[in-house]
Amino acid sequence: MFDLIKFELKRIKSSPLFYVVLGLPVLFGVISGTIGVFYQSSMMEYFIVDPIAKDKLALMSTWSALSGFYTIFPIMGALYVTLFVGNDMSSGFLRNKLIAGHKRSEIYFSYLITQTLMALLEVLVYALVAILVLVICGKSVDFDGGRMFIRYLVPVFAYVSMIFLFTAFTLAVRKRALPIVFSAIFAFSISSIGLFATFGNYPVSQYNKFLSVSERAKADINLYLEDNPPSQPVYADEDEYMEDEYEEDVDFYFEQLLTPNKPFYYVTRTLYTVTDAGILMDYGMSILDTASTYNEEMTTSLRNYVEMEESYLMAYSDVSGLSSKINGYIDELEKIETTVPFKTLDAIYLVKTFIWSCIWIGGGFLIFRKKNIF
Amino acid sequence: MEFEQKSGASAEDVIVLSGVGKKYGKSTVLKDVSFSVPKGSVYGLVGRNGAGKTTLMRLMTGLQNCDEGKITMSVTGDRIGSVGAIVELASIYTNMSARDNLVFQYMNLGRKVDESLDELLAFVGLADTGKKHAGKFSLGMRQRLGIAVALVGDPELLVLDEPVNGLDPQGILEVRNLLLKLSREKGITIVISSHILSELSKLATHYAFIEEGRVVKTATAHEIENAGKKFSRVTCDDTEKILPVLEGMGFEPRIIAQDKVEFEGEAKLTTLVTTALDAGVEISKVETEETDLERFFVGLVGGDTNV
Repeated sequence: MFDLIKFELKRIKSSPLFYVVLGLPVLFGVISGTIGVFYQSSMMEYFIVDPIAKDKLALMSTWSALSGFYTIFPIMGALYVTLFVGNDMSSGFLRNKLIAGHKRSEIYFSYLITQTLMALLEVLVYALVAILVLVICGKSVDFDGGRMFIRYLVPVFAYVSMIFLFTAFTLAVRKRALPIVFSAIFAFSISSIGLFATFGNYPVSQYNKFLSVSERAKADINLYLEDNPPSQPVYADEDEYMEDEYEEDVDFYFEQLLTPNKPFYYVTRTLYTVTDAGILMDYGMSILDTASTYNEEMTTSLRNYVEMEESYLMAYSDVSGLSSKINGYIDELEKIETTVPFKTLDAIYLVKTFIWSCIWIGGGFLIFRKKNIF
Repeated sequence: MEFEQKSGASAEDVIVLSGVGKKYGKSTVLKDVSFSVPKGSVYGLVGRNGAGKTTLMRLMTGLQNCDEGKITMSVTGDRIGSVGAIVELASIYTNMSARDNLVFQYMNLGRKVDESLDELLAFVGLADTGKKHAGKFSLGMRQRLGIAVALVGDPELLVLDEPVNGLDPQGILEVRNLLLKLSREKGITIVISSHILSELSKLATHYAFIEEGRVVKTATAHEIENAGKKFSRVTCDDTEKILPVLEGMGFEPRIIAQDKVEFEGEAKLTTLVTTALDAGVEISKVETEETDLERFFVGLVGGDTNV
């Protein structure tokens, strides 16, 4: 098999795609490094209000620079692997290998190994460029005592497990276009689920407690507003006020508060839980606030919602009774423990990555071993 | 497929098929196929479209696995490179030159590129193609390049599925001469299928006749030549009227064209002409032929001679 791997590596190197696929990590590395520099800029004062998070911006920018590849590399990897391996299927090179007498297991694993090496080279080039940009242009780099490198390996392994899937799928399917389309959609879905189903890895029981408190708070606020109607209107009605300043913000916080009520929440949350989709979001939040990330998110949402309502009501009348009521709920929310330490996150994602890798490699091999090559 | 390594050259079979069966879904493509290919032979697979020839070749080359039975291959050297093949299409990179295609195949077999590469290019008549991409080659040149790729590694067995399909007369001649050279000069065992039976008969030393996934007969070229059957073809003005005349003479005629009747055997010309005249039929031509591959095949499986 060593000869076959050597042959594959030479072929990869002689392919024009190789230089494209190595050029893109340089480009993405520069972009991610620049985003990392932006995190450290004074502009972030406007976006980040949490003092804990502010202290961790160097850590966050380093993480962002190192792990940013995970948003785009799966799509790039999907296209590269399916085009390269797919071309071997259609041009007859795979047939030549079988006819030459190479065993199917050797062919299969030589593809997996060489495509994995290629993926590792991509993420290495990317990380070097991104960190270099951060070091040269940023204020500081924080590797968290070297632990950041271990964290960096989590999305790297997750990416490699996707490469296993793309390679195995291309070798297992007869039609050339199908793996390209499927892999691109899969990679895109992983990125999308990561955005839409945040908090998927947090304990369900804690999540339900948050939901219960939030809903009680919301009902209580509405009840208060009914019992204390505004007396000195400044705006013609609530709509005018909302349109004027806060409508989008209020909607956004409402949405965050009521995440479980979204139509596709349970589907996306299930996918988020069983796949590696949430790596960036989970680690990112844990880095910004190493403990109680979820509490912070939920209380911030609620607090903001209340602030919006308070601002609106203050425009009309006195709301002195509302603040104490809301603060009680916020205290209640903050007491709920939802700490997810890095070690737990590492374990969750590495175990998931390992299981999926076994499924992709094993399933692909079972099909390829018996596959009719035409 | 089982692989057996034999030390030293001997006159045994290179490949032996025993009770081989293959299904695609619920459809049975091959059933209980058994024959052996002697070393140094040119073994022709003859059958109609869909008879199972290509599937059989895919099984022999390891592209597909048997569902039943086994295929045993015996070669003197290492399995890697011991078989060369073109199954349906020549497996070549069209965006590379002939030389680069061969370089890749050398690497595929874990071999170092040496002067044998240029010898191989010269052998298949592609030495002067330079950097021209294979995509710009004629069909015949591509086919010869495919054969060259298949020959890297000095294979003991060459499996060729329709190697002259789509070629012009010049291309057919080129490939035929190349295969004869391989068989005679290098002693390579060749398994070949072709729809052009007249072409196949110029190459093959042995045959397996396949019908609906089964081998209905195996024979050597010598056995077919010595089958001893003669066929007569009569051209006349009324085929319907001449049928009873021929039947009366003890033949089993059949109409093959509007003005032609064919039957096995040879009739005495003067008797045939006068008897026909008595029946009111005018004969314009009588031809007599020996059994050929086409007739042998039709005799086995029935139908017309359109294989």
